[in-house]
Amino acid sequence: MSVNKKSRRDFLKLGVIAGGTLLTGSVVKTALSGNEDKKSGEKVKMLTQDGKLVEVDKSSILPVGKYISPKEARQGIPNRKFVMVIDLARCKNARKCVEVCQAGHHLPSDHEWMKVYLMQDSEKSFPYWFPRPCFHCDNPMCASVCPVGATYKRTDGIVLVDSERCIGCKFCMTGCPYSVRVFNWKDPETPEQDKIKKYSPETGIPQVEGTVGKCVFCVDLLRTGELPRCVTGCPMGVIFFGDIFEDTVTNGTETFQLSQLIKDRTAFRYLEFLGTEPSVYYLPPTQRLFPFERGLEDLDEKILARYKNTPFVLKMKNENLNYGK
Amino acid sequence: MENNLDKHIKALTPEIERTSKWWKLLFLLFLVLFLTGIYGLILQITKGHIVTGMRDNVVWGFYIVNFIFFMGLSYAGALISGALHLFKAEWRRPIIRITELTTVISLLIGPCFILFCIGRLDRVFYLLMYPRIQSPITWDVIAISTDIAGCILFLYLSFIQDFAKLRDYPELKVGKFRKKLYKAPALGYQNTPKQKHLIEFSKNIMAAMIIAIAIIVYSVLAWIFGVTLQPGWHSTIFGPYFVIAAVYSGTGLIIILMWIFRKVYHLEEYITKKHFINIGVLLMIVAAFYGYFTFSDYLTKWYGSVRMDKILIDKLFADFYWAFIFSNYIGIIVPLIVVGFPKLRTIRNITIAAIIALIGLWVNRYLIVIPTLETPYLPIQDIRPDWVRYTPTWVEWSLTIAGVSVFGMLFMLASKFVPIVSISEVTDDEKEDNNEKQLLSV
Amino acid sequence: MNTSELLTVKKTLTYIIFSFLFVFTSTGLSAQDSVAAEKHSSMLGFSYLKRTDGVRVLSATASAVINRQFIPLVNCQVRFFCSDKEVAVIETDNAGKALLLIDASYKQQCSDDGSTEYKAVYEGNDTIEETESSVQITDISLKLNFSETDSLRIAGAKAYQLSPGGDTIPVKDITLIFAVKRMFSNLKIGEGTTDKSGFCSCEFPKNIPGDSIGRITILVRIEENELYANVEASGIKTWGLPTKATTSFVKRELWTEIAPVWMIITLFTMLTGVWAHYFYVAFNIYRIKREGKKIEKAKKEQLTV
Repeated sequence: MSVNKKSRRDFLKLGVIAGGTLLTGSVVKTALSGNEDKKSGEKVKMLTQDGKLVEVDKSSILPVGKYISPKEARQGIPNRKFVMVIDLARCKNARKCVEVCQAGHHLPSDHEWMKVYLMQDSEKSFPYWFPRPCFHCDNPMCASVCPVGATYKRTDGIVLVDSERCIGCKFCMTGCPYSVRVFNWKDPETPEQDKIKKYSPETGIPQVEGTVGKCVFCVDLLRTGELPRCVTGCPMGVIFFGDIFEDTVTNGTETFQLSQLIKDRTAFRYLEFLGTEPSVYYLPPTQRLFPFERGLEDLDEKILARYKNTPFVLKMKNENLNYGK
Repeated sequence: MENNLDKHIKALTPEIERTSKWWKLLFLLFLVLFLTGIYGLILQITKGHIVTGMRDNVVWGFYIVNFIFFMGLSYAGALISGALHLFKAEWRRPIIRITELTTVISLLIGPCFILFCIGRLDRVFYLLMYPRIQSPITWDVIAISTDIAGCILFLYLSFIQDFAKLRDYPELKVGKFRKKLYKAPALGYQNTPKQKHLIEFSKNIMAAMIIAIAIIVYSVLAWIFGVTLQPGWHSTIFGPYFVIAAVYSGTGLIIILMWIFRKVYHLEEYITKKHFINIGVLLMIVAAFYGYFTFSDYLTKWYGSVRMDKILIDKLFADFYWAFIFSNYIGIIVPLIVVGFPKLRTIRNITIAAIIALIGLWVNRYLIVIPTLETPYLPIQDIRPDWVRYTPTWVEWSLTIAGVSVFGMLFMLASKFVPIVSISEVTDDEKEDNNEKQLLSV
Repeated sequence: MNTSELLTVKKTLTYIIFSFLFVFTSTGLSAQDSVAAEKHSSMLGFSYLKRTDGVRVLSATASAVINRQFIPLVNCQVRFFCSDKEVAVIETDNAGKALLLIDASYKQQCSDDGSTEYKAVYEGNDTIEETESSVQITDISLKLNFSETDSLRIAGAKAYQLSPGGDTIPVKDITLIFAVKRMFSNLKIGEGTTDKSGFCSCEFPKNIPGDSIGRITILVRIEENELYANVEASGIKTWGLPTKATTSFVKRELWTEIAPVWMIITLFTMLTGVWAHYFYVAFNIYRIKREGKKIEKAKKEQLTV
């Protein structure tokens, strides 16, 4: 896996450099009047009436992202409250959500902010794949027990961790009943490019040794009007995301009215009786898109070994069925 | 009178003038163990908490267990010295110094273990800069600092008269500097009626306060677990349960210390079998209460068919079977039997029962903290064995032993400089005895 | 260590050699097949959208296909053509996307059937093949209107083309989609096909939340049409439910920064109660000391007397 990544990175560099030399090495034939090509940032080119190219603010199309300091990160995006819907009927344990999340936040490989569980409520019930991000509860136990206010809930519903305030007491980890949080037990081996960046709780980059990390609903992307990484990364469109005030959720291709979706598909929240009021709804795994066993195929040996204690897998082993082709 | 005083001082602080060889050796041993622990701590600070056995599910391990354990020991000292003082039980006099020292020393060691558990030690003062009052840890910080202040005050109050006696004792063969060391904290105490009254009065206040504060401190500690949603922790009984368990462990420790000092300092005259039996009876009563609370907690968990409780209890009897038997069966029944049957009530037996109780209590703390963390609501689906089950590493063991060593070292230092049985208490006793005799003879 | 050092040296040499070659190429951009190595294929995703204000948005996303995966090409040149006339060269951003806006009043050449060709070309380089993508767009306009009768709300749209003389020619049999603009996407309300007069309407439901005064942005779109690509027209109406978009945030909860009042009072009361006793006892200790000093002084005086 790492060899491929390396070659890909080299490769892109090659493409970039080649592109760059093209620019300097040859005459660029255009119909324009000498506007320099600038690096794409806040400006977009516009062709005017007389065929001239001018630059306009990119924000006329998209909001522009900027650095949010730990102090500013305590304020939420105004007039929004985010909600996620996960369709358990579509999930086939592709684990793209896990990979995209780890890549997007430059996490160490053993940190999984989004986890996919093989849930089987009891031996009599049938198992299902269960992607579990942070639920960003409306009554967050983690925020209640933090002694220094390092984890907090904002007006837009998102619960963040400020790694500059966290003292690493891990009370929030025992407070969360969903085992959402991970701890940096050692130096997270930050990539060089992250070391020069300024830390923001909204990205969680870079992770800090001795502090807690967790899913942040990709707030840095939300500010620029983009969906979280797991939403766009899922090949099955399992995860929907939206603003509860707009009553709309989307997975990038399909958009639904949230209240209608909850009603039609009988959405529920996990372990509702705990009273934490999660912001993530689940659509029950009825009329599945794939048979459940699909999720066990083509899996890495190590991931497969995780599920060895679930009743379904034990039964499969006992009956000597095709386990992990 | 002078002869009596001489006799008392020589008996109760035999190390005061010169240190014996065994004292130095033992102190050295403790020091070595302590330094090993410090090395482990440095390793932990430089390499990160990965050198411990704690991982993402069992995030609290030995350190928290030791923290609760040492804090619990302190409470027993507070209860026994405070309650006995208020009840004016005469038999308390020889052992009160030991109990008060236990209180203060374990209060100094306990919070250190919390510090080991904190991921960012360089930010620990954030607890004072950005405190959140809604957090049980903040309650803990406030409560423990109040408790330490109170216990030190109480201990100091009991020292004043003894320091005065040592200051006034002309034949004390110690250096000039040490003599000055006794003079200053003695506060010019001349045993006038007014001063005596002030001390008694203050002691009464502090005794009452100590009992109340100790109950609050230990309940706050229990609520750190009790208010979370984890199966096994979210139990309403945790507050009183922890308090009783604390008294139990502390009583056991006091018996052990009584036995040690009696043996080593030859204090058979002061600490008699009667004392052992009285404290033993206290141990038995508390053992009964402790057994009752434990039984009640597990019975309700087992009887109600709540799934998570069932998983927890299954795990306790599967992975932690012998620990469970030792702590919750042997640790309760043995003290009950030993003290309950008059034939078995010897000093040696009671001490053995106390040792079993003490170790059983430590195991009980372990059984409260770790199994719950190994059975969260969302099943642990991981292949790394140290993420599935908690295994303490040598760093955690060495720091635990270092904690015990520091306890030993501090106690040894205290027993060297200060009489291990409060002279003033004992001589007051004798005075009253003499008065009685005089009255009777008339 | 030696092999990797050698590799780095090799790579640097390769870069230098390639740069050398390109600098001395006369035409610069054409001849690609001189390099022997097999090139990776590439893809150019090209889309056209005509906005409600008439501005046309051309978006080209360049990616290379390696091992059946799409890798976005960053900082590469994409050339845009309008009816075979090159109008711009845009550099792709961090996601491999190059955007060009065309002003509404820009006169574009039309071919005989009234369509204009927009093309995007990625020239490629020595390792990536060149690729191009084009769309043939016939211009069309959409106009939104709203009507409200009793309790019925209807959004209507007309699709038409402008003749050279400036007359409106209605377009029939096109699928129009009515939607509401939301934060991340558009929520579809209904769809319809234009009739003879280019008109189509859709009933608007009453349960769509709007902003604080109930404003929503209603869109009508032509999507992925063969002739017209994507066209959008929008209008703002207060047809949404007024939504107070403030979370019912009580400032003092268990999990907020500031504690509930009763907690603060309880804590304060208990603390002052306990520490008051401490200070009293400390004061008593001071009194002991004071008494001791008095006695000492008295003793000294006695001795001197």
